[in-house]
Amino acid sequence: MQSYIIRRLLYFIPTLILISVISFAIIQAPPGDFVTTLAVQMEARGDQVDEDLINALRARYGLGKPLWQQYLIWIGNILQGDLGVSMAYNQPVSRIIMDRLPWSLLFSFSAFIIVYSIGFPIGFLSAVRQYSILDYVLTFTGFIGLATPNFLLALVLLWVYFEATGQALVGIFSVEYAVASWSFGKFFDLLNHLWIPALIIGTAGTAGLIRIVRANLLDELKKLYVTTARAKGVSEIRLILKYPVRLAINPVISNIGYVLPALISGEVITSIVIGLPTIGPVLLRALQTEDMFLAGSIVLILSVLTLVGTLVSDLLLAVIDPRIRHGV
Amino acid sequence: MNSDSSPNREWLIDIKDLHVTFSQDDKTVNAVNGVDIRVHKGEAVGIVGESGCGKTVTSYSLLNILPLNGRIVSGEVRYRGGNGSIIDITKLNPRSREMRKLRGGEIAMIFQEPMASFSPVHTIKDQIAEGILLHQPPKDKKVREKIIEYLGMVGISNPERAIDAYPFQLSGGMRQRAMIAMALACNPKVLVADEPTTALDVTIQAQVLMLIKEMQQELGLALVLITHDLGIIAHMADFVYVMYLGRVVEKGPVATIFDSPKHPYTRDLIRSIPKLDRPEKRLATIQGNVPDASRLPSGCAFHPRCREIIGEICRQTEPVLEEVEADHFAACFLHSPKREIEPGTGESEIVQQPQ
Repeated sequence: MQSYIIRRLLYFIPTLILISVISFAIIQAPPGDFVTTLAVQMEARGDQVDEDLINALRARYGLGKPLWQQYLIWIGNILQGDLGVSMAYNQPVSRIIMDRLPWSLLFSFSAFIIVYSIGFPIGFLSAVRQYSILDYVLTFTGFIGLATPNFLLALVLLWVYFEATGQALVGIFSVEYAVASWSFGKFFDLLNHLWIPALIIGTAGTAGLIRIVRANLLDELKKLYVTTARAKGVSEIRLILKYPVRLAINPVISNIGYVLPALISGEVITSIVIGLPTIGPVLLRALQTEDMFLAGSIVLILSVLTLVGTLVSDLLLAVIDPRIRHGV
Repeated sequence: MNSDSSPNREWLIDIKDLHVTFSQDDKTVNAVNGVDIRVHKGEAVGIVGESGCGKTVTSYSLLNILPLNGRIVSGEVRYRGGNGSIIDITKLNPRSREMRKLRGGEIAMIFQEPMASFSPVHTIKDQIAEGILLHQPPKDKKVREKIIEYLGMVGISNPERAIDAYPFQLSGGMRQRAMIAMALACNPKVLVADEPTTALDVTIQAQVLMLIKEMQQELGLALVLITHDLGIIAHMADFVYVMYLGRVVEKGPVATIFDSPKHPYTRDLIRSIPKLDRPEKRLATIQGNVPDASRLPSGCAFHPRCREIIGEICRQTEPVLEEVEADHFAACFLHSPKREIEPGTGESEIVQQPQ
């Protein structure tokens, strides 16, 4: 088991190198660079574009050099712990990320909890009562959840909340707590602002999980070992929880690795609509302005999260499934 | 040895006029159409027939574990409990406590595929202990010791280690032995074995069958053996029921069935057993295929495939089981006085051979 974990961690290195090369190439693929974008923006505002300033910026960020040199410089700095400076924000990338990543993780984690605590029981009920009215209602609701765009749901919920309470649920704190120091009041205010975005971010994931759990459980319920347990005289609810649920859980766990990055990238639109200080909108802006260092760093961090997520789900699988543990 | 005609022997299971249907994509499949089967204490009853003849469905009805789309339409499945009380299983709610007490505790089942019949992620101990704890929670001995005892009894070497194994860590034969141990561990009165050796290697088949026979005799169990293999029936059963399309077409003591089969279907089945002493170029087969059970043929269900068809009577009238000799019954007009009612056609017709 230990050697397995070490081997898996070693695999991270080539994977990350590959991801960094690909993301660097894609971010740099559009014609021009950050300075070109900046110059266009300045022209659009009617400002004078100073050639000297442009050249000075290019020299400062090393944009004039060949791509492979730029890449090596970027990676070299990252290995020394320097993520570089965001050209768009004119701030160290690490500070931007540290300001926003915790919020992203908080929202994603809340959404994650919502996805599993709602999706799993609903998928379970839907499968155990297949083709019942309950199943149809739950499946229908699930499909609506899957099909509704996040931004629309966000707008609708904001409107409903505003109609009901007279307050706009924008940002992460209410006005009175925004600059206040931490207190119970501020904490509850945060919780209050947390659940709606988390629900919105988690909707599609919940609906997807319902489908996965339902389909897997239906497959398992037909298996012969369920009949065997029934023939032993085990009660229906006990045998379903002990056997098919235990086996249907495998695909759900292997899904965890993909849920993490999906949640983080899924919060972009919701964050823009609700005005959340998370990392999604920053990534969008960095990509639009070709802010290489910022965008590249965020993509790398998301990749690491994905890799860690898949490792965690693989380890969990080995823990719960003896076939994987014993290498069958 | 068996029979309806010897009322002094007490039956354990009495199936009367059982009808089971399945609903499949708006169609109704008549899986079992009026079956009578009686199993006596300590007796080995064989149910034989091609796939789709309703033999497995009949065995599932014994435990009331039909799939959700299956339904017992009419008939009785009576079980005589230890205190002499008679329970009609078809009247019990499949999920009721009474039904679950019978399953495993009174009537235990061995399934066809030992790999698929065990949960792959639970240990042998876990799965055997489940039944013991439900039906026979031991007072003096620990559950673990009891399981080891049973695993040893069914011939698993090193039961102390096998008990903690997962099913995939055992060989196919060992798995089926563990399955037998699981069925026996709750001291049932009846053992139902549904094609217990079909999924096993030929060399292992004989060993497992021997084991089942031994256990049956040692523990005085009634055995219901379901198989498509008449060779197995010959070695294992005392009394045989031959099923075709959800009906019993012939029944009798095993020796009588093999010595003088009366129903053309049984004759065909026996003819298709490969014989070592008579090398044949081609295996004998039964002409045609088993018809779709949702559109049963009129009259005798076997008439489209029958090589000894008499005439219109076979196409129009459904034959019933009639005693052809002591204890031996067949549902065929060849042996029925009713045959005389239809003098018109007289001689046997040649049926068109489907090519």
